[in-house]
Formats: sequence, C-alpha cells, structure tokens
Amino acid sequence: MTLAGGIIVLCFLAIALLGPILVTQDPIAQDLGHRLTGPSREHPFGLDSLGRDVFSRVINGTRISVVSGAAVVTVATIFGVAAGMLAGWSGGWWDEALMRITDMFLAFPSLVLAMAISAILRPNLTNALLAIAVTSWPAYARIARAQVLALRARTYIEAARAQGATDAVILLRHLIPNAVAPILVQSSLDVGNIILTTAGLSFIGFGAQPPTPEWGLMVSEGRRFLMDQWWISTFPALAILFLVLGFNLLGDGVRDLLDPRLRKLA
Amino acid sequence: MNLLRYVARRAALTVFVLFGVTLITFVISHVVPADPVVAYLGEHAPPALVEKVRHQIGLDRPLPVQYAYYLRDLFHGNLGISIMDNRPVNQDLRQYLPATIELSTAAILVAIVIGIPTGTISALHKDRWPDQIARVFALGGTSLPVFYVALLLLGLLYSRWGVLPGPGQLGIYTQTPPHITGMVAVDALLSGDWDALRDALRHLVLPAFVLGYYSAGLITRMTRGSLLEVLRQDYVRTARAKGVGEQRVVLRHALRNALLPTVTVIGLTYGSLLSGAVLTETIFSWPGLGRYATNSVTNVDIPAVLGATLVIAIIYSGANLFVDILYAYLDPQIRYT
Amino acid sequence: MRRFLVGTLVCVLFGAWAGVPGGFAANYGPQQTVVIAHDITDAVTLDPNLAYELSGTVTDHQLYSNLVTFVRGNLTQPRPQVAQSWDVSPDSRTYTFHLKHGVVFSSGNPLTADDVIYTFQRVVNLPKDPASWLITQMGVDDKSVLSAVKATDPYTLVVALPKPFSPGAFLSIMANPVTGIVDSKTVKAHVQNNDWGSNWLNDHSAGSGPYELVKWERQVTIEIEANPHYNLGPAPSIKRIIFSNIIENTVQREMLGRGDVDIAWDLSASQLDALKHEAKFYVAQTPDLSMQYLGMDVKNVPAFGKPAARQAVKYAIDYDGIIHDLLNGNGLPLQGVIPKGLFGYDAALPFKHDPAKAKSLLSEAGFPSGFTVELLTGTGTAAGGVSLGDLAAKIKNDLGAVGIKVNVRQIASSEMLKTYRAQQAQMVLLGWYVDYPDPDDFAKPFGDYTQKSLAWRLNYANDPLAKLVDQAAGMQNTPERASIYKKVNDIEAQDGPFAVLYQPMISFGVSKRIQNLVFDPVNYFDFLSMTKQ
Repeated sequence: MTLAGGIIVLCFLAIALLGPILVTQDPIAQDLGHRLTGPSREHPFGLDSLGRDVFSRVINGTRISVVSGAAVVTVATIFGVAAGMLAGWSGGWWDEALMRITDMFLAFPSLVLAMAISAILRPNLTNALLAIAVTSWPAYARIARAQVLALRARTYIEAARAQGATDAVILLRHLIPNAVAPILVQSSLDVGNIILTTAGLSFIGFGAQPPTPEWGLMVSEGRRFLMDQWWISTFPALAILFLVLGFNLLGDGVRDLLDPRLRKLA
Repeated sequence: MNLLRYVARRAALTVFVLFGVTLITFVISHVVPADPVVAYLGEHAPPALVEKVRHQIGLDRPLPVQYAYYLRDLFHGNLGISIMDNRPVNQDLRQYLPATIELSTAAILVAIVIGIPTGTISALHKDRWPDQIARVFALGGTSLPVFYVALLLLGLLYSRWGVLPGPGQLGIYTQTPPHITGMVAVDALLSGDWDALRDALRHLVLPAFVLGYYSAGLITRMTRGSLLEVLRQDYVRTARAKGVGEQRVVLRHALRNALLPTVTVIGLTYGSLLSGAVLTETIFSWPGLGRYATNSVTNVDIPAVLGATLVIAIIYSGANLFVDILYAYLDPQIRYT
Repeated sequence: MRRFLVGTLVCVLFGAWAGVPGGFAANYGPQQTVVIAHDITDAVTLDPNLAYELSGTVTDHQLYSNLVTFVRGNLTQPRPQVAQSWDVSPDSRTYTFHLKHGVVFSSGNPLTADDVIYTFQRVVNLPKDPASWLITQMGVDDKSVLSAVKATDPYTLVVALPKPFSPGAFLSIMANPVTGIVDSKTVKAHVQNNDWGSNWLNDHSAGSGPYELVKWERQVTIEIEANPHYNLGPAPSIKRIIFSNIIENTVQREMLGRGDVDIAWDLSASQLDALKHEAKFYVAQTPDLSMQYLGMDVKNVPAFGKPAARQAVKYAIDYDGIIHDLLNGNGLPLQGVIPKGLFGYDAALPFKHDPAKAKSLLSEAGFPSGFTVELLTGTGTAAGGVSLGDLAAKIKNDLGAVGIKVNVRQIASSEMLKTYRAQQAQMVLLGWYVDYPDPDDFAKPFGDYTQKSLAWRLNYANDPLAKLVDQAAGMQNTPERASIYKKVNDIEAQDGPFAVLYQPMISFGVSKRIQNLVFDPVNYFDFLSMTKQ
C-alpha cells in the first residue's frame, strides 16, 4: 500500500517538475469559439467555459498544488518546531504562554480561520497558503514541545551538560534528530489535508484567483456545467483525489515504519 | 491534583483562551481592507449617507473604545446588531446554530455507523481482502474533495434519478414544525408531525452523508488501529488460547477498550465538522452557522463575524475540553503533567 | 445474530417509511401557488421604507401600494394607483396628489393622506436607511419632512420641495417601493424602542397591495398570500407566492426540471441557452435597466490620463465575443450610458473590435509598447449570468492583445467598493443598476463628478459635461432633453473613462405551466396578470 502511495506521489512530483514540457496548450489561452467542447484527441480533458484546455490546466495545477503543500508544511514545521522547542526547553512562563496561544489557534477549525485571514489579507493563493500555515503550526509546536519535555531529563543530556556543551548545541545535536520521526509522520499526514484545504479555499473564492489553473478554483469554475460538461470540474477533482490519496498512503506507510521506534522512545 | 481541580483549571484556561479569541477576531475584523458600511448601503449611497450611517453604527469611534463597548455588551449576553441582517446577532445565532448542530450530529452518526463496523471488520481480517477494501475506502474518504462530491451526488441523486429531494431542510410545501429546539427534524418528532419528520429526514440524508464520509474514513482508521493494538495484548492471546468460544467475549471486551481513542477522535471531529459544514451548507442551501460565518466574512459584518467565531470557538474548545477531561478521568497520569 | 437481523429489519422498514415523499398541507393548492427559486440571502428587511436589496423590494412591491405606479412594463408613463390624479407646479417644485376614496389596508383600516405623510417620515427618519437618499436628494430630510409634506384634507397631499426636481424622476420615485404606503395606525401600535415599527414589519405586512406577508424565514423562504381587502384592482388568480432560497443555480435548474419550482431566477447564460431547446420550459427575457462597464481611473493610471488611451481600450474590447460566447446572447450591445428602455437611450455603437486601431491610438497617446494596470472586480456573477472571473479573464485577454498587461484581482465587493469610493482604483469591472426609471439616474453618476459618484471615483472631472447633465436633470421628456442626452453620450464615448460592455437581459427559466408572465426591470413580476395551469 505504501509502495502504491509512494509511486503515485512520485508520479505527481515528476509531472510537477516536468510540467511545461508535458503541457500541450497554453493553459490560459482562450478559444471562445470552441468553449465547452468535450474530450478529444487534441484535448484529452476537453475545453472549459472560456475554451481553455483542461488537460494543460490540470498539469500546470500539479505544480501549484505540490509546491503549495510543500511550502505550507515547511513553513509550519520550521516555525512550529522552533516555537515548541523553545517552550519546552525554557519551561515556566514561556511554556504556559505558548500553550495558551496554540490553544487559541486550535480553537478554530482551520477552514474558518484560514478564510478570515485570507479575507483580511486579500484573497490570493499566497495569502491562502500563509493562512493555512498559521492554522497548521500549532500541531508541530505541540509535538516538538512534547519531545523536548520527554528527552530533557535523559541522562545523556545531563552528561552532555556536564561536559560543558551549551544549550544550543544540546538542542541541535540531540533533541532535533530525535524529534524528526514524529514530525515527519505528522507532516506526511498533513500534506494531504493542506492540499484539500487549499482547494476548498479556492473553491469558495478565498484562495487562488482566475486565471490561475489551481484545481479547487477549476472545480468551482466548472460547477455550473457539472451535469452536461462534466469534464471541466471532474478532472481537477480526480487530480486532487489521487494526489491526496498518494500522500495519505505515503503518510500511513511512514507512520507504520516509524511506529515501533516511537513506542521505544515513549 | 484531584479531578475537580483539574477540571476547574482547564475550564478557567478555556475561558481565558476564548477571551483571546475575541481579541484576535476583533482586531482581525477591524483591520479588514473593506468597509462594512459601504457593503451594507451599496454602491449608490452618497458619501454623506455613508458617514451618517457609520456614526449610527458606532464605527467611527476609536478601536479600543469599540472593543470596550463590545466586552461590556458581551457580559450582558449582547452580541451586537448584525449589519447584514439588521437584527441582533443573538437572534441570528439562535436561528442558525440549531441547523448546524442537527447536520453535524447526523454527520457524526453517519460516520460512526459506517466507520466503526468497517474498522472492526478491517482489523479482524487484517491484510486480507476485506481489510484492503476497507482501507482503500477509508483512505479514499479522506482524500476526496468534499465540495465536488456534494455537487456530484446532488446532481445525480436529485436531478438525474430523483431519488432524494433537493436542497434545503424541508420541501417547499411542507409546513415548518413549531419551534422547540430549532432543529427541524427534532421539532417534527417532538410535535408528532410525521410528515414533516419524514421530509426533514429525507433532506438530511445527503448533506449528512457528504459531511460525514470524511469523518467515517478517520474513524475507520482509528478503530482499526486501536483494535489491532488491543488484540495484540496478552489477555487477548490468553483468551484465544482458551478456545474459539471465548473469542466473542474477547471481541466485545477488546472493542470496548479500543473504542476509547476512537471516542476522543469523535469528540474532536464533532468540533471540526464546522469546517466541512461551510462548504456543505452552501451547496445544500442549509441555513446553518458555517454559511452564516462565510456570509459575514464576505459582507464584512463585524458583529456577525465576532459572534459566529466566538460560538464556533466555544463549541470547538468545549469539545476539546470534554475530551481532555474524559482522558484525565480515565488516565490519572495525565493530571500530573 | 438474532439481534443483528432484527436491527437490520428495523432499519429497512424505517428507510421505507422515510423514503416515500410526503404530501403537503396549505391553504392553496399548486394551481394557485407560484414557487420561485432565487438567492434571497440579500434580503435584509421587509420594511418597505428601509428595504433596498432586490429580494426585499421585489417582495415589498407586492405588499404595498404607492401613489403612482408603472403598469405592464411601460416605464415612461406613471399611472394612478392610490392617487387618482396629480398636478405639478410649473416650477417643478410643488406636487399635489388627489387620493382615491375607499382604499383600505390589509388590516381593514382606510388609507388617507396621513398614512402617506407617516410613510415619508419613516423614510427620512429610519436609522441606517440605504434608501433614504432617494428622498433626501430632493432636499427633504428628517428636519424638514413635516413642513415639506402636508395634507390639506384627508385625501389631498401636497409635497413642496425646496428646489426644482425633475417631474419624471419625482414620479418614478413615488412609484418606487421605498415610498410604499404603510398603515400608520397598525405600525404605530407596534413600535418598540423607537424603531418606527421596523422590527415588526419583518414578519408582518401593513400595506394595501394585492398580497400580504405570511412568513419570512431568513435564508430559507419568503411567502406571501392574496390580500382579501385588496380593492385597487381585480383579485389576482395566483393566491400564493413562495420565494424559495436556492443559492446554486445548478440546483435551481434541477428543481425547475423536476417541477419543484415554477420559475428559476438566477440561471447562467449557458443554462438559459440550453433551456430554450426544452419543450416544457421557456426563457422569459427583457432588457434590464443596467449595464456592465469597465471604469478607467484617469489619475491613478498615467496612460488613462490621455483620452486616446481610453479610446484605445474601447477599441480593444471584443464586444461581440462577450455577448455571443460568454453571455450566450443574454445581453444587448450598448455603448452609451443610458440603457434601452429609458428616455435618452442612444443606440449608436461607435466602437468596434479593432485591435490595430487600438494599438495605433496607444502609440498616439505615448504608450506604443503598452502598460500594466490592475483590474479590480468582485467575486460571483456579473449581470447576464456570466461569472465575473470569466469576464475579467476575457478583458485581460482582449487588452493583452494590444499590449496592455492586465492583472486581475477578484476581491469581495465590499473591499472593492471601499477602494473605488476612495478614488484609489486603477481599473474596475462593475455593473450599474437602476434605482428609478429616469435617465438622470444614469446620467448623473456617469457624467456629473460633483455628485461624488462614479465619475468622481475615477477622478474624471469634466465641467461642461456636468453642466449638461445638471441642465437635463430638471427637464421633462422633451426633444430638447433628448438632444442634451445625445451630447452627453457623445462626450462620454469620445472622452469618458467608461467602456460600456453590454446591457444584460433579465432572464428567467420558466415552466410552461406559467402563462401571461409580465415583468419589468424595476418591479419585476406582475403577478396580477399571471396565470398558472
């Protein structure tokens, strides 16, 4: 299963990287005379309401989705882990404060908060991703903090201190490598969700703006034509499905792989 | 510390968190690069009218003053007047909250009814074909974009095949049952209006299913995972060694233990269903809180935004709090951290 | 095992019971009920003197009568409704209305001039009233209303304005739901906290129109039923009207197809096109009194400071492409600022899609290699049923072909309006909709910058144009007025910052069961003539 997931993800990554070469038509070129035409050899996924080639748009959208997911996870991880480690290491007041702040952000369902932030900052893809990152980091902060707390009392840390190693060195050399595993699990499980949320935000208009070929936006643009010209919304939706499925399978596999190790650490 | 003190501490912290939520939301909604007065009055309003109404709503006062007024009103249970509905936000919430509760509850029930049996079967037949199918189903459920599924199912089941009714809570000709809880199906049941109950349930099926299948996937995976863990335990192996007849007893015992983490997932999912509800409610014209929140963000209806986010945060925090307390009750170790 | 079987049986039986569609209970059957699918979430209030949103005003038009009204789509000739005749003073400042005797409200109370005075009071006194400017623009406000509007006897009303106001405009405002006459006795009895009875009017009606309000469930439905006391005309054959809130037009189309609704209001251009080929439905259309335009700010974009560049944009647009391909024919060509259906409409189309000419004009303006500009537009649908995103993408394409690089920004309309009203936009894509059917309602915002409306927002200050508009404002519909509006349109075309794209049609998807559907772009449905099989 994990293998299947890995393969799917790699396929999509390849598509994302090779993007421009695979694309057969200009994804934003309009051909009003032939709008709403169905799949054909020349246009395997058909044409949308402005006569744009859906296949090319879906291919281009791959890059957008993959980069979005990666970017958000990276930002959330870096920021979250840094904050969590700081809190766990410093303890006391800092720790309490951070925990309350993460609680506040966790008090919102991600879509609603992302919507609100997106609305303030002006809806576009970058701000939507920023908003999603803002709702994602608390989870990583918590993991990092838990790791730090668990490991802080270990004897080898005491030993390192006795040897005169500074706090920073201890953090870098010992704590971070041990925290990698659960964070990796969390992020691989998160990416799928992030892609879905991005698509959802774009669907309701708070994310990517036209004529960007973002999958969620494409589903929204094609929704009025769903029953008759089904290809406009369906192919982007399928793309979302397979990419997210791939990441979920991969994430499951990663978790199964690292699970026994997690239990040993606890 | 004992349980009571733990509960009190957590509750106090939750209140503090909610205050923070109001402050954040307040700042956010006033920093918006949009003008709620213009949004309300529309394009044609001359500038003089815009200023007059801005003063009438109180939006020309300095921000800290506005926040102070807001807090004072909050203590009296007054959430302000919604700009887009021209009536108290309390009234809005009283109208829209029950619909979301109804939908979310139905969705959770769907998720449980689908998820737990599937997860159980999956765990019992690990790695054989029922497990494979169930896992793909669960994974697929958490990977599909909900907005697309909603549109598709509505188009097929309503438009093409006429199996299920259209959007909304009730059919156009059905009399709304008297307002007892605000939840249409429940009110119909309580007032004995069987026609309305039947109609309400038929309208609930599709949105509840669409909203619930994602959670069904989560619950399936959770049930499978925790059941597998429990089945590995020593006492299970002992029971198996004693004979096949014991297996039934073991299953029930094991399931009960395995359900604990699942219950916590259910609790958290219930709170987060409000996210999915935004998209589902829009497509099914369901007059609930998610749609109200979206509309108030779009219309820059600040009192409504504040009210809706506060209620959402309360529900979400409440769910988290409940789960935390449940865990603390069951696992005393947690209270000591 | 047994328990499992029993459980399954129970579920199956329950499913069978629940799965059967039920009937309905109501005072009137389907033959006398019309169901309309529409997004009614814009409705804020049903108080006629406060309502400004379409769903509210369309409903209130059925619940409340006015002094005068427009009948059967004729928007140039006001007809008597509550007033049987009226006189206008030669200086266009004093209007005297002679009310009919014996008109009653839905409560049974008789209608007199005092009710009309109370109505005027409400319009200028209700807080946060978006519609109040229609009256205050005449110089009548909360301080002066009682001296401006008087009753010389119970059936004679005299309105004395401080300055001359176009009779055409005045009378069309008297026909507007904002001056819908309320039953002052009933409303006064339900005043709470100084609200002028406004809260009560959200759930009850107190008018003399052919219908009365049964219920309004926000975001769900508006229901009105025939008013038994109505005596301003014959009783309508449609006894009950339900506006059912359906937001997605795909769903509206589906419900129309299944027979659950009779009229679908918000269908898209391609849906309407497809509907024309169906046997059981038809598309009812009329030109809307509105237009979709592209606004260019002459100060914020250096290029747009040059008239030649503004003209270049007007030549760069593929008008036919928009109307045929994006609107599926659901729009009319229009390039003047006064739409078809109003006095002063100019059918001339001075601009054709000519990219070569556009490029040469750009060179003439000093921008041979084009320039970059940001286009602001809202989310959702433009008039005529095309999505604003699609329309903006088309404009971007057209202008790109002549060297103008357009960055589209779709934002919430509230934010866009804020920027636009603060004179900070570069280019906007918007619609302008009628308030009252007098050409001044369009000429003023587009031509007179002193009004601080559209022209002002684009920093377009043209004094001679403003003077012309002002001059025509006070006139009656004479050939002289027509020639002034012709001049206004010419100046706008040559020099103005507006590229008018098209005039949309109002279109409904209608079931063939509905006959005699008459509607106009101001008051929408005329249920009095409608019949249903």
